[in-house]
Amino acid sequence: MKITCLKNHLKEAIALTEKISGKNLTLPVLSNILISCDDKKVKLTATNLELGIEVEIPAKIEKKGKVAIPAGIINGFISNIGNEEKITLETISENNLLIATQNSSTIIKGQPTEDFPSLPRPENKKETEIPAHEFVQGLKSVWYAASLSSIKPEIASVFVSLSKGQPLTFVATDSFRLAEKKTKQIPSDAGSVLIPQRSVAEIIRILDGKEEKIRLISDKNQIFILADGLVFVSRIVEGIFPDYQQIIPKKFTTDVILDKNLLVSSLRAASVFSNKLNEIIIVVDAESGEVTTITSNADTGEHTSHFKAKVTGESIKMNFNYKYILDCLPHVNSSGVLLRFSGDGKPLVITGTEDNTFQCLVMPMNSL
Amino acid sequence: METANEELDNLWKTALAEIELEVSRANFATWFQNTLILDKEDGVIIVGVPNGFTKEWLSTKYNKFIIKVLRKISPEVKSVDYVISSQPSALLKKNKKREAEDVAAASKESQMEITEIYIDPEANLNPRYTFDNFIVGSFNELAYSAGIAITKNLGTAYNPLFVYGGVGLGKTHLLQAIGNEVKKNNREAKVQYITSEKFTLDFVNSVQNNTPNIFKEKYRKYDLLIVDDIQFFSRKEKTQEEFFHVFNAIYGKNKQIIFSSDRPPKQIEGLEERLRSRFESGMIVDINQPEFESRLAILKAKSELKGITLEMEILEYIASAISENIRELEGALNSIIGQIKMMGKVLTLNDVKEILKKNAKPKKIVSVNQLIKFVCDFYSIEERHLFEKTRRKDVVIPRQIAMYLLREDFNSSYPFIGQKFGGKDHTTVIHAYEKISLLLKSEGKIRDEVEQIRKIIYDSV
Repeated sequence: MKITCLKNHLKEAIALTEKISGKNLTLPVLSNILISCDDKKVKLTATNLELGIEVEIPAKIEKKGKVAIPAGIINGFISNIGNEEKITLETISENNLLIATQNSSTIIKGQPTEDFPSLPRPENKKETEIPAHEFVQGLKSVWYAASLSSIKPEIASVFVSLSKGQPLTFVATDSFRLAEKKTKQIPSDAGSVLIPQRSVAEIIRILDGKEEKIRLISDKNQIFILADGLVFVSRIVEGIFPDYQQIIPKKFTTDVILDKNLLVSSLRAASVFSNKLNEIIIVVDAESGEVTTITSNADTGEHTSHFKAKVTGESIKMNFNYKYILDCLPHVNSSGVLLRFSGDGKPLVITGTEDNTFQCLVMPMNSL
Repeated sequence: METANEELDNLWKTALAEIELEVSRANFATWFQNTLILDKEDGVIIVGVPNGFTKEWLSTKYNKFIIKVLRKISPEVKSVDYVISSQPSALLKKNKKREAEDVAAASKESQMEITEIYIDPEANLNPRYTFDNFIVGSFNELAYSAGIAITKNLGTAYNPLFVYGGVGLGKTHLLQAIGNEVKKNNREAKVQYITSEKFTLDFVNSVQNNTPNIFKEKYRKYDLLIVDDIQFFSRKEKTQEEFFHVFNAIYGKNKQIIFSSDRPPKQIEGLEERLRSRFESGMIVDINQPEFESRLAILKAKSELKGITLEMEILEYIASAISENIRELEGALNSIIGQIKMMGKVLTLNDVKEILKKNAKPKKIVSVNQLIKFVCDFYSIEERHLFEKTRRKDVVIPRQIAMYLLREDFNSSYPFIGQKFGGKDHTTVIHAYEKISLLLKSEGKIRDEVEQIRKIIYDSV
């Protein structure tokens, strides 16, 4: 194999693939990036057998072939070489790769390529086109709420629902809170998929900042994301996401409208003095229209702050994990936040005053 | 069937032994572990693989080799197909176990959970209700045995089963446990747990959206349909009619149906006769109030589950202070455990009494005369009749119930009660008390009436 390409293209592609290459696996070849080229294209491939990625780079091809190079090493090298523009990659003596620039020449030891697995290919051809930024925004708005434990794989993933006449919907929950984001309608009835949380993190990383449209293909076991010069494949979770609609309260006893930035900064200040359970007490006084947050920690001290808010309904006092509230606030796309309480032991619903596409449910803590 | 499976297992085992010799250990561990032969038909072997990557790699890289090895053992093999089948690997199981422990520890912390998340979205069953944590005593033994019998002979043992009993006595627990057990024994079984309210709502929606066929199809395909709190069907004629058809369709296919209600079918008002007779056509069992020993057993089990050991003396006190309702029993226990956690010290019996004062029923707030008035109002008889020396049945029963309540709920002495009822002998009162106690066990009507009178009395204070 012999190719010449621009450093930036190679650097980007390696950065994308390096994170996905497998570590500590029984098959050592998986910690490599496979660089392969046929007559027309140069591709970089990496997989950990849960996720796989394939990135094309523009290059001048002089000789076909392939090589498998340890991901960490090539990434560490390429991201640190200076003002080089053009790079030539050439295989020498079976498995090794010679990287030549204007001023340097480097040899990296590779591994035999025949054990490097090929990525699965989609069996069904039904594609759904979605603007990349919509997809990323939807995932970003909810994925932090997904469960980190794999006991119930259905909730250790993000639920993405695509159905005709309905907005594209993203939901995640860890049974303590639940976040839902609706974006615009997509004319498709591809159904719904459960994307594992770790894959979601990678999808966000790969697609963030992209403006183009991506194409989704899903079958029973995996989802494929096709973008310009990029193929990403992930296992999907089998199972049924909980019927989350019935969890969302329909009746509320207290509505509070607050300035979002004020709430964020006061929660952050209060959080310094919360205990190891991240507990914060929120008191809403309906008569005076005042919201009070109280935190106390036996070791560091205690804190109380009051602020004015628009309150309708009953006075209420509840305990929450402040992190759960703080996590979702950046995704409320409005300057005013609406906090909707529905009584003791019932979840708090957080949404925007001018944004009804996003809502987050947070369960209270037992105030014993 | 099993021998065929064994044969396939053996075939694959022999093949794997040979493959292992030919490929590197890393490759074998990555690609061949957790695979199995699912089926063999006309020389085509179906191999189950754990994921898409394995499928792709086995079929592009190792396919020829696998066929060669299989042919050596079994010459009629023509080709091999690869199918992704989700068999949990041994490794995963181990991880799951560890994490299960982690979560169990975490859930003891005070963060509340959205419990609905754990409900099986297909069957609508909560996996936390099982037979393992169902406490059996003489008060629910019959219902329990009937439930167990049903899980063993679905649709043939007792069909339909009708369970009734007061609130918070574990009807829903029993019903869901039956559903979970059936699901556990046969993963393919179509089980549906539904409250009668949800059924009504579904029906109304289907009428609104003009999708009656979807509704009909949906309910008729189940192997086990569990309908909770059937008394809410009362006076909903259209829903009853629809349910009647669903019942017939399911029953006609010898599929199991289970109902629960807070009272026997005969006492559900506004229930159509044809539906009532169908409810009564199978087995009717009731769940009574738990006796002292069962209450104690429940408290013990629940406190162990929460990892807190309470002194026997305290448990006995709780069991004696709260007698009617298991849910209240749990509530009382929870608030005591909460106090222990918060104060971080061992509670004495007096502390417990103090805490339970809030929970326990107010006793002796109603005067004797008030109680008699409530009873008379309930039966629409004049108060003076109660004190007359008459043995008319419509007076005798109310009189005896009033005596019973005075004794049972207000701890009045027998001679005191006798004196209040126009100087009757205390043995008369004892007789009345014993008679009503007996009737409560045998006659649903009396039990219902006593419950209703109690409700009126306690609601008034």
